[in-house]
Amino acid sequence: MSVTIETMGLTKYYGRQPGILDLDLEVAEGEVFGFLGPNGAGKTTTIRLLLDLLRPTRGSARVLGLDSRRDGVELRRRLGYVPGELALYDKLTGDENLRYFTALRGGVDRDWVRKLAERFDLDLTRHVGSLSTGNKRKVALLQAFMHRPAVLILDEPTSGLDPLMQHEFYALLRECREAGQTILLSSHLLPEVQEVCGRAAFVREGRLVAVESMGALGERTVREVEVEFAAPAAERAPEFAALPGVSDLDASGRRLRFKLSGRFDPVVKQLARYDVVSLTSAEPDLDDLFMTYYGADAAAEPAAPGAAPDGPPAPSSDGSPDAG
Amino acid sequence: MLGSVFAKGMRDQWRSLLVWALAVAVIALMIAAFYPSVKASMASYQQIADQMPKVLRDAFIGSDIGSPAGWLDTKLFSMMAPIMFLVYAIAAGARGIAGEEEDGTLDLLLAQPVSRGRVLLQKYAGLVAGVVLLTAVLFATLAITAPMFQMHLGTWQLLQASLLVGLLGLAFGSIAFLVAAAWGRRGLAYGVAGGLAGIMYLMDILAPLSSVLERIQPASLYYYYGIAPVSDGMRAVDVLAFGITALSALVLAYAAFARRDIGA
Repeated sequence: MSVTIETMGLTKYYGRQPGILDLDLEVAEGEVFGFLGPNGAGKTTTIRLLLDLLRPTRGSARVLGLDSRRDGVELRRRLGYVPGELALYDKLTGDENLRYFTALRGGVDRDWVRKLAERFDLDLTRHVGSLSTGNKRKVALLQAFMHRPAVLILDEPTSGLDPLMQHEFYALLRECREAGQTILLSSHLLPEVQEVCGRAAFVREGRLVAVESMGALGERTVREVEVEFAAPAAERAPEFAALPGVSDLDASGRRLRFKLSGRFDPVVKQLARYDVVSLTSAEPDLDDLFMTYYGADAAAEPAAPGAAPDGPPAPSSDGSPDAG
Repeated sequence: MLGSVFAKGMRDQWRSLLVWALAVAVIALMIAAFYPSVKASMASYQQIADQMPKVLRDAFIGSDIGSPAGWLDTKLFSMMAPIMFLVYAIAAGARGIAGEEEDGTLDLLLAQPVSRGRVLLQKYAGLVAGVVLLTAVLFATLAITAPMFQMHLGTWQLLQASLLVGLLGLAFGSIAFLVAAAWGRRGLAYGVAGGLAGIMYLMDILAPLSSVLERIQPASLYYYYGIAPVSDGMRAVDVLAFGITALSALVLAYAAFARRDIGA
């Protein structure tokens, strides 16, 4: 399979603040690739470098074999982009926004646009300025998908969307993957990336920490689980403590709290024997994940080989780089 | 009206442009309409003018206020017309790139398959189109109304004066456009272009007071505009000075805009 998105030592400084440092990344054709990290990690910087909105301090990026600097126009013709900072033409309607971008781009199937609008329950006749954040996001999504680009670069595309629409969007992403489109999805939410991505890059404070396949990651994810039984929980504690992946077990009253790493299956099978009132599982926290797998100073120790900086000052670990 | 960056720019500004055009026409018309009554009391008016110090007279009155050309120079072309054209052109020039950049829409615009050069040129074309329209309105209003109010001036004479004020506006608008393209900030563009206009204006009107100022007077764009565009007309060097200013601002704007980061 060929490489669709490739960055080579991609580095961007804002003055002396590093936005992204020596990023080496490869996204294969047809892949849905997650780009995961806390806010300010350098995700938006990387994406805007790919689009030639920012110019790298050093290094380069290629999409579909096209250099982001030299072949920017041709590259963007075959690319769909949802910006993280949502800014559309507020005084125009959704439809007018899309018509403008269509005129600049060409090759848009109006029927497909209409279907997408129906699918996302979006009224294109309203002025964008009067729309909710979620609905604005939908206009931006339509703008990115309307020409069926070979590559989609999506910067936090679901923020502001309600859960129903998020799932509709994930479904759309899966269809795109089946159609052979390559997708780079930036997010600060691990569950989102796990839901749709095959692999993901973890970035933090401008550095690539790891590239993981989601299957492997799921095995190692730690979640907080809380169960409420219809009867006192204490006597059941030992049998749950003995299950694979369970730790830090704590029983109080009819509640049982524990940490679960890996698969839910053994716990669910065990729970099935009892009268369960409620079951809560917090989504794993991204910071916890970094701490658990890469140590507290993961940010300062880039895991990727050859990613050490070779010159400019190292970033301070307390700083918050990145301008967006 | 959404077919290109230029077309969208015109669509965005047509309402305000219409108001500007109307304002230019009304002011030109009003000043022309006052001429017959002034002509009647011309003698006393000229007397006051003659008693003023030369610097003030040159700056605010012009030489021959009683003639149709002197009247238009004094009342319209010395202050009102340049101010209107400067304000419009500087605002339009600053809005060009910096408007979309400050609104954040430049990201999505440049994410389309358009080059920065194309966006820049079409934004600039919007500025030029606005100035051309206002120039045409000014000229047309004067050409139509002057004869109605006892001002018998040549069409070519009125066209030259209108072109001069249009070119003056375009030159400063281009400077605002350059600052906006290079730094992406509207406020800075207003400040630099407006400040420069103020300094150059002072340089020009104070020039007769000192030999040093007189020597550097050609560095002021008002020198090429002159104090009496209708009476003195347009010289080739004037067109050249404004043209070179506008063109070099555009070239520099491209050079700066093509290589810098957007937004952030």
